[in-house]
Amino acid sequence: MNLFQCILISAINCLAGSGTSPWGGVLAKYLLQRPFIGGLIIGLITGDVNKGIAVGVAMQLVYIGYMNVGGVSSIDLGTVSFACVGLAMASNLDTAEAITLSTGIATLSNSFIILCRNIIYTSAGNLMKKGCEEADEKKIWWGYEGIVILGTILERFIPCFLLIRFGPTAVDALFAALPANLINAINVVGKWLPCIGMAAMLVYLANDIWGILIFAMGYAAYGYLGLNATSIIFFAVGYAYLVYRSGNKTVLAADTVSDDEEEIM
Amino acid sequence: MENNVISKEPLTKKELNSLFFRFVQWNAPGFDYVYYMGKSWPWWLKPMFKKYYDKEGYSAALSRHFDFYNTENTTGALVYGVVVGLEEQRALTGEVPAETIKDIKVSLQGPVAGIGDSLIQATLLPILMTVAISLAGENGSIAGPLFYIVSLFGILLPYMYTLFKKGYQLGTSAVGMISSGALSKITEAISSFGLIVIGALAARQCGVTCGITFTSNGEETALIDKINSIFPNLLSLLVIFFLYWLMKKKKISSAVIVYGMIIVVTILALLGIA
Repeated sequence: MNLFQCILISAINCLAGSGTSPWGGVLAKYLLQRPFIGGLIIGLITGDVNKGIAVGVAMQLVYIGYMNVGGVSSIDLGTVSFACVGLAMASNLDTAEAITLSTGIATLSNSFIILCRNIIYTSAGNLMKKGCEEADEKKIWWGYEGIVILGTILERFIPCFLLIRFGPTAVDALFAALPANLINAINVVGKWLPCIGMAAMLVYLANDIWGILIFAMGYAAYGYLGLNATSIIFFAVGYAYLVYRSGNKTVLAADTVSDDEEEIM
Repeated sequence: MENNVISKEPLTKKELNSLFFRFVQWNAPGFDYVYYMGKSWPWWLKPMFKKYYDKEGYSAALSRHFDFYNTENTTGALVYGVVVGLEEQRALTGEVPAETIKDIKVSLQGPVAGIGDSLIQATLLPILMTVAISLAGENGSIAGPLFYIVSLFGILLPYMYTLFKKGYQLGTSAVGMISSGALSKITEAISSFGLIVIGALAARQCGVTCGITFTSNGEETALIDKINSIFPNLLSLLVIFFLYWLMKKKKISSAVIVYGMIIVVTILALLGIA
């Protein structure tokens, strides 16, 4: 990637914070903290849209269950979307290797961001509070926007720029130096990691054993029946409609599960 | 109470819309661990206070709103609508005590975050992502991201605007609207849709490996082939259930699980087990 492309991608990464970005709000967060959207944007910038989306989709699957609840998260998804997808596209890593590496990078970057929040943004808040008490527009702006823009450059622009500009060479050199069995191990880890995202989704969506069974039903529909992922959507819509129509929450939901399972088997 | 009101005009439709778009543009810049999103309240409401108050009243009103606040901000549009409505009434009639407005913010942020996190973050968005991922396929078709972008804005913007307007119109009685029973039925239906689609996706994407081989009838056979002939990709499903158990029942955080998995699986792979 050339200098201009790196700058552009890092600038967009500034809007991909967990609601912390100086502009863009909650919609930017829900849009840009998605690796496949990051892949689309990087693809548009570098000219290889399909590769960008494919890399982004592979990354997205690992992190699909990660959400930011109450300002607490373990991984900075914006970093995955732009820095890591960009890094994966520019280096010779395969998907599984890229996933393992990204998980490490995004966890580190999250710790760095939390440090920034504690030091920089708390003092920005105190400045703004003073501004409100004095009705001083300048202090309000610096407290709410000015310092945050500078902080965002520090916490989002610079790390992302360094990673996509100089990361690929370093990463390729690193992987060339690693012994073969360790690279194989990194590959294996990358294949296991998507399970975490899926399990995290299951935690949010399934409240009881029936939820787990419905999940297994979708699993079997793909693996056992061989339906493709898109056709399963129609099947799922029909099932959701049955749930919606069922009057009694527990009893009928349970009945429909067993009916549908007979249908499958 | 501020007695520095300089205007008795109700908010125009244009002013209301611009207040709403301030809310959309700024979520929580400089989110910190003291005020959380609280800094945004004075910022969002600034133009409105400027319209109604002189300098003294303006700074008093801004300072009143400078407080701890934290919620999910799509559903949070409801709280914002309620507060904008109450602040307008306060300026126009002088009958709404500042404490009422404060209480609304304090008491609504928790429940609204609960609904927002479970309905939007845990249900709607993963489902949109899942559909988008299926549409994108392994070749990276642009249909996937396009679907996500269009549906995200197509659903969330009207959702936020409706909640904002409802909150503004209903005032304090808006609270009942969001906790009605109909919502839980819809959430349940959406969750089951999500579970099936995510199940299929998991079957496609998770490829838990196993390096163990054994010899039967003089031939070397991989254990994973035997397992897959019973049920395709059964190992991945078992790993997902195990992780689910760790997170749900043992309350282990996902960060710990990520680190743990990287370490454990690397060791297993080096030993030839994974």
